[in-house]
Amino acid sequence: VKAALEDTTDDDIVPISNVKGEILRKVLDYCEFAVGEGKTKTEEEKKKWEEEYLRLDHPTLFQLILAANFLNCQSLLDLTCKNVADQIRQKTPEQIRAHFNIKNDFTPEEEEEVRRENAWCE
Amino acid sequence: FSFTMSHPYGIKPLGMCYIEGNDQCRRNGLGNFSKLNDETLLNIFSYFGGKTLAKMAVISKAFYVFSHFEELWKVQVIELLTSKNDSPTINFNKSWRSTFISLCSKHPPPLHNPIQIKNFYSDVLYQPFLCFNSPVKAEYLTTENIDRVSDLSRDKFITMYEIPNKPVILTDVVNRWKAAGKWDEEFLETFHGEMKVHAGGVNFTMKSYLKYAEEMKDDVPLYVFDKKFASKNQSLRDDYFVPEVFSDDLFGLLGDERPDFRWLIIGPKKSGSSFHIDPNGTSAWNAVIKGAKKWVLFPPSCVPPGIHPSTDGLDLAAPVSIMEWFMNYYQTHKQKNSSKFKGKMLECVVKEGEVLFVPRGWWHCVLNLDFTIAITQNFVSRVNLSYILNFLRDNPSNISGLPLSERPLLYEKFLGELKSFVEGKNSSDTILRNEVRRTVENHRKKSKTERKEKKEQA
Repeated sequence: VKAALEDTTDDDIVPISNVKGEILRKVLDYCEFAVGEGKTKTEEEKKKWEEEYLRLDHPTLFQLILAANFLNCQSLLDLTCKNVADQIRQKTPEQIRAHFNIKNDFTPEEEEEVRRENAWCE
Repeated sequence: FSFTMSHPYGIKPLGMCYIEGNDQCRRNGLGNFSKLNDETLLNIFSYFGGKTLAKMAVISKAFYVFSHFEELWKVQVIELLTSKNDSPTINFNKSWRSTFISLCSKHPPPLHNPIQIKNFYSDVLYQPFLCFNSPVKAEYLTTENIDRVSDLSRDKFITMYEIPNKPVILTDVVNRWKAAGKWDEEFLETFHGEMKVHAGGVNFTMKSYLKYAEEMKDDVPLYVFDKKFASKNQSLRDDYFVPEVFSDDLFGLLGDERPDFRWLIIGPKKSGSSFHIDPNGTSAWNAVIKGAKKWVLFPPSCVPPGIHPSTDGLDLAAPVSIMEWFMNYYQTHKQKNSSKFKGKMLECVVKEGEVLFVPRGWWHCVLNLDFTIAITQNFVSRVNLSYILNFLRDNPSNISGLPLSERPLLYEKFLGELKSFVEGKNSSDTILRNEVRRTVENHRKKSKTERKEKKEQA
């Protein structure tokens, strides 16, 4: 938003058409916290706030990631990406595919090859 | 664009998707994740540790591609090694992924049979492969507009180059070093193979580094940049000498408390350093013992195209690699010949046996055109001393090559050493002593006047 604002005068309206109103609200919540209350809180309190903030369904979380990316809000982007990574890490491959609508497009031979190469992880 | 090499996993640049028209691999294989762009996906993947990262490969072909992205594994290896207390050395093993597996399991990594992933298109994932395999174009190497001189006296050097702050190449010094014609891969491996060297934040033995340089396919290769080589290894130290015209070394008065100042540089073809200015306001010389280096330089007042330093001078937003700079900015700038940069960009290829003088404050980027071995030193001389005193006084937070706690102290400490030098009974080099005395006196007078003016303004 800052970059867009730098290109306009005070009277212009800044167009943000890629982001739905409710998602933009979520982004602003984060930014307001970061520059306001967030500065006075301890690390633990901040983590708690972030945990609460990120209790979202997947579609909303993904929309938030897209918005953070579009609006160039790096810290929110990193926070949301880390959250998704944390959610993925806890699931098995089958659960990941089911949850995120992913098709297993390997042939049985290919899948076996990948598993063989991953034997060291087990 | 005729590029016939194919990516190890068969992925293609994004443009090919419009020609071949089949995006199903990405859509089906990423599911809900296909809404996100590749940079964001890599961001998510960057939070996975090595084992999780490996397990992602089995989910789908698209996940397989991301899971095998080498830059992710490079980070994992470096993190794993830097977390260990005894700073172990890396044994690079064909790829970063394979190297990680070697570090993590007792068994040797399994043979890797890359699965060919059809119809997967991504510029982001294709880019490192493209960069690594793009040749250095001949057009990048043709311009030579830096003076080459031989038999240059110190006085001539000072009046013609150091005072005007202008680069120059000396052609007749390095070939008198013992290192010339002696130092090469075989020599380093045979006689200094066990020496620990520092490259990109990690340690190698010389032997294991040379193996990495041979096997790696990084688009931004790690290169040896070792500041302790001369103190660790007397034999290497004895194989070169500081060229006479660069022999002023006023930071040497600080003894062990001086900022880092000399480095052994070893890197494979296409390794190098993107645009920067050398630390602490110092000038430098850079000598090629084996190989060749392409240099592009801009004067202090002229920020290179595509480079955006932050206002406090601490951060630098620049294209990822030097090759990207060449591909995206070099040719457009030369064709446009825009007035902002006209006549300001200096270029050369420094060959074996040559040494380049890099004047203080000049922007420069360097690209190794071959496997290259070089030595560089930064120095404070009678000519650039006043500039450096101003720098240390006004920018203590931008000082580098010293522990953080010592940076604010450097200015006063250095002044103290200069004072002792000037007053010393040791009769070597009265000319230098007089020059330094004059410079320090002028500096103190100016500092006093400037402080007074500031007070009056306030």
